[in-house]
Amino acid sequence: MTADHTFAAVMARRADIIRRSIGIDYESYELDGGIAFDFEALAASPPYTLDDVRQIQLDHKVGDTPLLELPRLTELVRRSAPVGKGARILVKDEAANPAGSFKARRASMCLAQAAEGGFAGVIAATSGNYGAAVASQAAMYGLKALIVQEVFDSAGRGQPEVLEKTRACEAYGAEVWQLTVGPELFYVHLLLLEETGYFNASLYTPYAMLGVETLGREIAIECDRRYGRYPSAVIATHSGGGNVTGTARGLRSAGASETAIVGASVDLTGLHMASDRDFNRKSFTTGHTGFGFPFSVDPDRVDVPRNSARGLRYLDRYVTVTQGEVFYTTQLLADLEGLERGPAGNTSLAAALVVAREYNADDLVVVQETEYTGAGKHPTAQLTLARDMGVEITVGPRSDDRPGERIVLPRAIEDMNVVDVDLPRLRRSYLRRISTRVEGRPLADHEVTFLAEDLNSDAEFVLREWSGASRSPEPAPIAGGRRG
Amino acid sequence: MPDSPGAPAADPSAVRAGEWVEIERVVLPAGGRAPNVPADTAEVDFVARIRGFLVEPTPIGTNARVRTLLDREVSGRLAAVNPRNPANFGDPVPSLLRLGLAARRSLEETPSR
Repeated sequence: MTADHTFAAVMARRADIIRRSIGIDYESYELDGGIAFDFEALAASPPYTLDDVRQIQLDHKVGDTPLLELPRLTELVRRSAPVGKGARILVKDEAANPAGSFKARRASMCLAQAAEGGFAGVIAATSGNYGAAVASQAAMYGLKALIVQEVFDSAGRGQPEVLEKTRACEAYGAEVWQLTVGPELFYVHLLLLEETGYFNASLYTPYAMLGVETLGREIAIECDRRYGRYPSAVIATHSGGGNVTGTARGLRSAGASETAIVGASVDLTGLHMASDRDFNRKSFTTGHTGFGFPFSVDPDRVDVPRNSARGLRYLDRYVTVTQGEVFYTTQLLADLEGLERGPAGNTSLAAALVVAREYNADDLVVVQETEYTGAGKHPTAQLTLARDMGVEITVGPRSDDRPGERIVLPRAIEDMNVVDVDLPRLRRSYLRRISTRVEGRPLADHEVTFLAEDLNSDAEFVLREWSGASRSPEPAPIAGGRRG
Repeated sequence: MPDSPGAPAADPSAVRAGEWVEIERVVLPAGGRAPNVPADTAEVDFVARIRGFLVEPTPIGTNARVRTLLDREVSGRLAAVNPRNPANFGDPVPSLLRLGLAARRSLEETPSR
């Protein structure tokens, strides 16, 4: 018997395929009404304490990465800040993990779960560092890894960063499916899960989140030990929400409850993430607004029924930076600190060079990741492709920046800035989306509580906006889509 | 019909069995794509490329079977033999070098506050 492989038939089997490939009974965490679920119970469902997680990660060469001071960058920031301002900037050198990024933390726990469930292999649908991390961890566990990536446009031009990731995954013994542009990547993911019976190494399970919590905890413990205080702010590149969620939970569990959680994304406003034409006109494949906005507004649009990574739940502040600012920051990190990293992983560092100006000189601002650099994963590789695609590269004020048309490198650090994303607006969009789905019916008490927590807000905001949302049928126009 | 690995091919232009090759397959043809994709994406094929060891001698451009690194068999049109890893560092970007140099100089030349 051959299963029907048409797009519609496979998508119709989606719930079944996911259930068999993940080993978590998501239904049991749903609360009445179809809006709320028991987030904390789901988060606590893996049978591991954070100490267990740390041990599993150390056993698989993950974690305990250096927390590095960046004295020369800090000095440069202080010169661009008011007298007495300019926090000490530190960076967690996550590039020291196997496969070169913090994603090893997520992958390690997904592989632990797959091994526990007796799966022969794992599949991850990811064009980012997570693929290499899964392949690397799978190699350590002796499990098979199959990675599905979005790599090419229809002319066969590959995104340099993803091409490098293909190479890395194959170096770790993975089978890689390279795909052209389109959301049908998810369809291929489902087909392969069904065909192989492998485990779905989703980025968005409670296991994956637990894997990131150690990162936040290490930062809190190390800052406390070394400086006798917790960071004033921790800046995390924000995309699907896992980096923010895991880090924030880890910080809090270690006692750093006052630390501000700042998300940072590269501004790609105006570029469509599913467009064949736009695909190679962007220089960043993740950590950008094309994921950060829609995942904030609709966190459950992932490959599991409920996303354990929920950005709005933890973000105290959310800022955007330009592609040119991240490339410039990458150059500064190499030139002033002798660290060649990124570039995509330096999104949060670019934000830190601006945000640190606002804090006192004796405050700590921690950038919670670096990533490895290499062929394709480098500003020169990205800027060469950008130029080939007709994107102009200039040096000047950030107001000249136009994603997909012009990349502007700052003339100096004083040119750098951040744009604060309107968090209440994102929260309203989130509520409006749900309100539309349930046709504006009144909320039960447990739903108000859930929504207030999920939005890092309060019941008053939820109730006020809910009644407003049911009166206005138009959803707010903020979903990382086209500009203008 | 499959030849044993390494056996001479019946067609002399065929790629030898056992070579590391890339195959390509149209997963969803233009016009048969997901309903919600933008127009420019909807009008092109959705294509997959996979690499593996060629199972039997096969001419380029014809249907081939490969064994992947997971020892799974996958088939598709034979597209390339021992394909090069195309990622590189691209061209130097002199403006980035100048900006880095300027930042160094400003640190060294201006006194600290």
